[in-house]
Amino acid sequence: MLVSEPLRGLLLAVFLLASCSNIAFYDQAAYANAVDTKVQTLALMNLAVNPYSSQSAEIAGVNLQMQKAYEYDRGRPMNQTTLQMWDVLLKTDPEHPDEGLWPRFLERWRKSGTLSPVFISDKKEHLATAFDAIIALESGKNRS
Amino acid sequence: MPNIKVDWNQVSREVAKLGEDIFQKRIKGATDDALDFLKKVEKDVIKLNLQLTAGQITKEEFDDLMSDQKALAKMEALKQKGLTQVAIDQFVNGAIDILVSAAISAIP
Repeated sequence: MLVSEPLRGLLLAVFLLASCSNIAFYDQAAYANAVDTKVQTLALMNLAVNPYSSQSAEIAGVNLQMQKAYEYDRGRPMNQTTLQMWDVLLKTDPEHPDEGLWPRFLERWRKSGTLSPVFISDKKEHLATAFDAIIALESGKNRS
Repeated sequence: MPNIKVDWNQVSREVAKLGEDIFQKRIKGATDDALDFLKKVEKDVIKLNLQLTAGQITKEEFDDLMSDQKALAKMEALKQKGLTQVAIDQFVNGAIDILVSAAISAIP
């Protein structure tokens, strides 16, 4: 026998442990996507004092940026937790009406035409907190 | 057959120390974050109530902003879940390093 019993056990343990990765590694592009999207989103929210219809190009631009960030993270293996966070931010779900922070803001803006600076400021704080959570998780991931 | 001897006591001590370091740090991080989050929510709810009373926001806007709190709590929980997954990976990788070192040093 080439390998003794204890060493075989040790090697088996190593192989078993090595196959147990839980979460994606840190990704610089994903981090930058989240930061850029946060900045663009908050900048767009300032424009909500203007009519929704007058800002449709800017809204479409930010929505596209969000979609790109989401799709990038969706394509990464073992990245379900980050994707669930994006879902809370971006996806409406009738079973969870509190979710979809961003589409709920857009819908209120669309319905109301314009929004008050106080409400916009409150919403910006909430959206910033949501983005910060995504950014903090990405930044906390292990470097490969 | 070569005489291969692994110091299992040393391996288990090192793995236990690694787990203690990583998970104590994680528990402290999660506790600090949870306290910060709760303080932030408390401050925000007080502010929103004052704004509602002062007529700066409508009841509908107030309800919408309160709904955000639930979503943000979910985000915070997911962040903590993710950071705990990171800590588990750190432990696993650290344990692999310890085991590999033990294996290498056991080979005569």
